[in-house]
Amino acid sequence: MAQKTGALSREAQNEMLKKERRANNAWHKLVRNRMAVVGLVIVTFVFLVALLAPLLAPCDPNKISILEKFMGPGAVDKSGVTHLLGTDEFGRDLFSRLIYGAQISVVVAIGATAVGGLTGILLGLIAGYKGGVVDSIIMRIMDGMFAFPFLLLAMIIMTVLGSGVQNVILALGISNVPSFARMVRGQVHVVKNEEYCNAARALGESDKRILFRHILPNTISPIIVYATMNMASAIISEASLSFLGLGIMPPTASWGNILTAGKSYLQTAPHIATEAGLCILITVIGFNLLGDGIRDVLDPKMKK
Amino acid sequence: MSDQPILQIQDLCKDFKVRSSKLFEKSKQLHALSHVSLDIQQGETLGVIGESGCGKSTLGRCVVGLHSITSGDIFYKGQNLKELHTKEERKSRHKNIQIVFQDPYSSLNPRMTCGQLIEEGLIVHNLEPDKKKRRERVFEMMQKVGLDVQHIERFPHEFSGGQRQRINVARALILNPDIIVCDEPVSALDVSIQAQVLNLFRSIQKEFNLTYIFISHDLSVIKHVSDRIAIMYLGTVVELCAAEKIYSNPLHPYTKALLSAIPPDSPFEVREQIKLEGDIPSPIGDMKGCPLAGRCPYATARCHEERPQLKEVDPGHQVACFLME
Repeated sequence: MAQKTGALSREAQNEMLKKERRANNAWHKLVRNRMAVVGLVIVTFVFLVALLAPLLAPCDPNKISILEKFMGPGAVDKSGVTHLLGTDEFGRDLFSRLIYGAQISVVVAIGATAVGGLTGILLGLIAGYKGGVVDSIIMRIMDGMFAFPFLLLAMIIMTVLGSGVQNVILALGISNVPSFARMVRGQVHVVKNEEYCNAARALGESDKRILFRHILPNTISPIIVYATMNMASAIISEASLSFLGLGIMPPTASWGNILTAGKSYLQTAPHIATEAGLCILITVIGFNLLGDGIRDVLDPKMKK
Repeated sequence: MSDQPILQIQDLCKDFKVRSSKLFEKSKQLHALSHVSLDIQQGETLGVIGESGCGKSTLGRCVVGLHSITSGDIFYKGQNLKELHTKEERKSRHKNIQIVFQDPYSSLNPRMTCGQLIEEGLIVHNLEPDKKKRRERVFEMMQKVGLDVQHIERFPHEFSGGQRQRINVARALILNPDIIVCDEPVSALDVSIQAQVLNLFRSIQKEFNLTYIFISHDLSVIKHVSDRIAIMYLGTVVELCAAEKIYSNPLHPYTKALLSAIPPDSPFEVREQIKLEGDIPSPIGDMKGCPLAGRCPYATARCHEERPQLKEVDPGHQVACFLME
């Protein structure tokens, strides 16, 4: 090649840019992260199961047959129906109940985290950025909410609102607000005095733009990790609320419901609690892996 | 220098509140800047030099509006920057007076690409609503500051210190400002890179007819870039004169001491060393007299009582010292 290598040709340059843009592309980064893909597959699977519950469930989840209670996994009842995962204390098909239960559990997990997360993040951002009186007022209210144990707070809200899926989401979400707010506020305090926020101010950017374009992206990592962990605890909390008679009303299946009901029969019919617990476990692992993956995707230093 | 200066700083004071560590004790005032007055002409480079903690950076940040002013005024082209009431006025101030920060590592948002960082100003001030044209402007600017255009999609951590400082310069420059405050822009860089970045500053100054307020603590850097030099000590300007003069004819005792601290060029050269005894007094609390009085070898009783004002001794050479009167 006698050609001088100095300036690259326009085409070569565009090619390089395209390559880097691809490397920065969120979807490509996620797909290259193997654990994130596993998480994504699990979460999608759970979503599909929840969505297609009426098609997938072999039996009516609420059909009671007293004679066929506590049957082990794979047992065949008198009418010839195979209960893949056995039956519970009322002889209901556990497989169908778990499939239907996915609906409630997934909706509650995501809903509660979304409600708590969004409000908490917003409050934390405002409190951390504005400081002074605004900060004091918001954080003292949060401290007040912290004074109640998590479940007690949720119970109070449930008693006021009444039972139902929406209200469970709302109650768990509101109870989640203070921890989100406090965490975000701490992060904002660190980030807002960074030089690049001063640079943004010197450019004449508005507070809103600084908050959402410079501060929030740099605080997002711990928020995502916390949010994925929170999904798991939301599923369990929903179970606790239902157990206390404040959450989802009994005939409706939810993983938490099944788990708490199965707890009483751990010695005689351990499969009930085990199966529900496994469902929760796998879903939570899926959310955590996906959350880790998303966090890595958002971190520019993880580019490969 | 007959026409109106582009930036006039008049009697600028900036105090910071220092909270006491003891309970119920009154908070004290830290006087970061006391009664600083400077005129800056269009197209010149004013070097500001002084030891750390003397208020150089505070001065720069007051000018760009990152610090509010305690008292005094700053006029930009005759307009008082304290009296910017509408959003547009405030925005245009930011557009016209830009800053390049000292630390090239922390002054760039780690989550934005080089291109996004540079075009930020265009978006905020809505100078180029069209996305494609904006991209073109960014390309153009990157070439001007000596960045490879194929690096536009890269994140700050993928650049070297010198390159990051170029991004910083590009970000300030894309708004087409009149004044750039350079807050120790090369002190975090290697010496070989320093020269490159300094030359970049010089070349863009010619091209865009920029005015610089160049803050530094490095005597050789400031000598290289400045037209005039202001020497600061403890929040006050003690001497102000043309760059060559300050080396040939320093008048203020502090300037003399500062310059005598430069190692001589040859080991056989005998140079009078002026040593300042003691430490810099604390800027917290009220002060009486000349800030240097406690350390100055020529201090008189008057120095401890009164504060000397900046006075012209030669044309274009101002000193704040009673010895010169």
